[in-house]
Amino acid sequence: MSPQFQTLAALVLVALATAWLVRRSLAKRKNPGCGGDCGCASSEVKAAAAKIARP
Amino acid sequence: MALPSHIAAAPASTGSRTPIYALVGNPNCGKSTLFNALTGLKQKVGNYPGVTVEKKVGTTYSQHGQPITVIDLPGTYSLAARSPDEAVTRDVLLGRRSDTAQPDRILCIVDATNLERNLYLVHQILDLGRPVILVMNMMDLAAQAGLNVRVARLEKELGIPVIACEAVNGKGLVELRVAMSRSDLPLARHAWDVPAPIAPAVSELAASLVEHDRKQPLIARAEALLLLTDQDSVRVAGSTPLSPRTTEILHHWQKRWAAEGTDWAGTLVNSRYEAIGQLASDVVLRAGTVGPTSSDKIDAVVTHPVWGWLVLGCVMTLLFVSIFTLAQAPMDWIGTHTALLADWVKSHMMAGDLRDLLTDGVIGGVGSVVTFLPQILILFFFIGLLESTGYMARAAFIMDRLMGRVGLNGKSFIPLLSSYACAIPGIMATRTIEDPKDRLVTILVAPLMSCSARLPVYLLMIAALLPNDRVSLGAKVGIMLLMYTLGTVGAFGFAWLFKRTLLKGAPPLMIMELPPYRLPGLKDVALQMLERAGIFLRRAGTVILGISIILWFLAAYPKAPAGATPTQQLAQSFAGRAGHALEPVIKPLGFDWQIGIGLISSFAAREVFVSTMGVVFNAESSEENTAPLRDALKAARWPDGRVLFTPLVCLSLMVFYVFAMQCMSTIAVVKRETNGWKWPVFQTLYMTGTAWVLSFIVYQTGHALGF
Repeated sequence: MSPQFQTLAALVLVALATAWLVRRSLAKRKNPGCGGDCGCASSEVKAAAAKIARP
Repeated sequence: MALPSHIAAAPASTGSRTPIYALVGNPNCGKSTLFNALTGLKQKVGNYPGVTVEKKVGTTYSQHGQPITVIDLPGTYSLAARSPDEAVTRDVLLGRRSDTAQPDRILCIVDATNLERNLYLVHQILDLGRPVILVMNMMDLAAQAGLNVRVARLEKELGIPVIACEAVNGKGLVELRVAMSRSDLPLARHAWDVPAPIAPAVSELAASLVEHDRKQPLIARAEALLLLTDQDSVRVAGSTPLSPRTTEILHHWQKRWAAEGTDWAGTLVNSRYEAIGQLASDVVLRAGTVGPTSSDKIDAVVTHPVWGWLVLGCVMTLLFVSIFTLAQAPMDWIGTHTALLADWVKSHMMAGDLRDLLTDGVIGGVGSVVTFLPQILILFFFIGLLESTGYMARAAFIMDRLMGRVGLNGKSFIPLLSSYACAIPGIMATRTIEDPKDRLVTILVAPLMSCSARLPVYLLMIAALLPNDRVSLGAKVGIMLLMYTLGTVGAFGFAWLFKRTLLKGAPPLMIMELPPYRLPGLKDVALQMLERAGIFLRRAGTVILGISIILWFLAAYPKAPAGATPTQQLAQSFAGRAGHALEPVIKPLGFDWQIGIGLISSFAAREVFVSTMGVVFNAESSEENTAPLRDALKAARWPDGRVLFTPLVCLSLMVFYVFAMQCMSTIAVVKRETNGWKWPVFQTLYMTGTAWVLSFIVYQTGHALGF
């Protein structure tokens, strides 16, 4: 793997990581909280809660 | 027994819709354990009151395999809400919440060892006119306490199914599922009726609730009774307000009773207690005089004003000794294999950016954090064990004396205790605190408790500060205890200050229930430990991985001219420039620009400091063999050749991390819980400012003393 290709691949990975972190941060702004990171309500509980929401 | 006048026809069947059961009960009656047993959803199960803060929902199955939805409502002693979480319970049961359907049926769980106290809530719930199943939990403990609880008699008196149960052992669950599967659950027929002088007020309010607030007649009557005995002062978001006409009628009766000088609200409550007292004396038989239980005997020591603190100190010491001793071998294994993996990548790839990204960024960054997994697991094993046995409530009891002196509410202990794991659930648990000022003070100081994200930072610094071959285990444990104590003392100190300046308020009262000791539920402890391991690894594999990749870029670009040393490359990189810009502010604390990079990056999360050090010092290394981070830190130098990570700098850095607000997720949650940016900004400034001042004092004093 040439050094030039390695540089390109590394920069693509950096761009992907940045985009993912930005997207995650924006999603948290819409629905703030710990996102399950710290033992908050799990996605299963949230899904079940949504099911019983009044129509 | 004749039916009371208000009981009418049963509510309409749920038809083909999944029936919804609400699970209600006093705090600490085993509600969360029963919910777990029924639904299989794994939650934190604790012994202290108030663990259930959020509404939780799960699905169980009838004996015919039909799904049944169960809502786990926050624990409460009565429907007269005194805190936001109790208000949620009241509002769901009364159908006041627009976001939650009113439950079709109610599963009411009571502690058989304290039946009379638990029956007050049951009495109020029976007024709702919904089908109720009464679950008599902790029957084994009641028998041990010499109580003969006559389940059949209670069933006959109330006219509803009463199931004897030991939720923690899974006993009675089959009978409970069978009862829940019944399509024809009978309505309660408890004999209590409203005292005659109060009946007109109840009737008028109930009629208005039906007409103006669109309530069903039975619910309207129950709500009228509640309004007349409770000021209805606690309202939470999502709760439908009363109509103006109903409010007018309520105020009219309150004013009229006040003018008459008669306490009819008190009469109503007393009337309930009389009925409950009579019922309890019929149902519970005591086997003579019962001496102190084994729980009482243990409590005489562990809640003693002197011995209690000694026991708490021993428990904490044992916890930290275990963290250092038991975790050493697996940590060494992970560290060695991380280094081997980096070396393997180096030997199989040509030199280049991708190789550096993988070895210095991904493996160096994530690996340095994952190394601490065994210690995190041991910490949560002990926390789970202490909760499961009931000792945690005793620790809360001992701490309450201290907390009362600084003006903190006793209920603040649970949020503060949760904050040792993570400040976010701790801050969310403050919803159990009734007084808004007490709640805000607790939110402001909760992140000062040393959370598990600080643990890797402390451990790395202790490893750099105290090499294994030169100091005793006792010194390491002592420093760790010192950091945890410093955070706790800081939290209490700031609470004391806030309660006397910004958030003045009356001294809080505390009523606390000490549950009986139990054998630890090892399954629950193990599940909690695995859940925490999952959370830790998920963070390492997502956020920390992402930040490590970006940090590698910031440390590797822009490129220095050919022939530059790794240190020169790092110094002129984006990260190096940011670190240099921060250096004048942190140099008085003994930190250089490389540590500055760690301080900036760890604003995302505290443990990122460790991965940043991994990235920074791996990037500086020009060797083909990757050195453990601890050794890399020991080799770090100032430009003039002085050692960078001296014991004094390590101590200063640990003190900084005890107090600094280095967690964006916590800031976001504080913003949500306080409805604005004012308090999170204040919190960040006061915490980080204190961190700087105290680190400055530690470093400069140590420096002046010749360390």
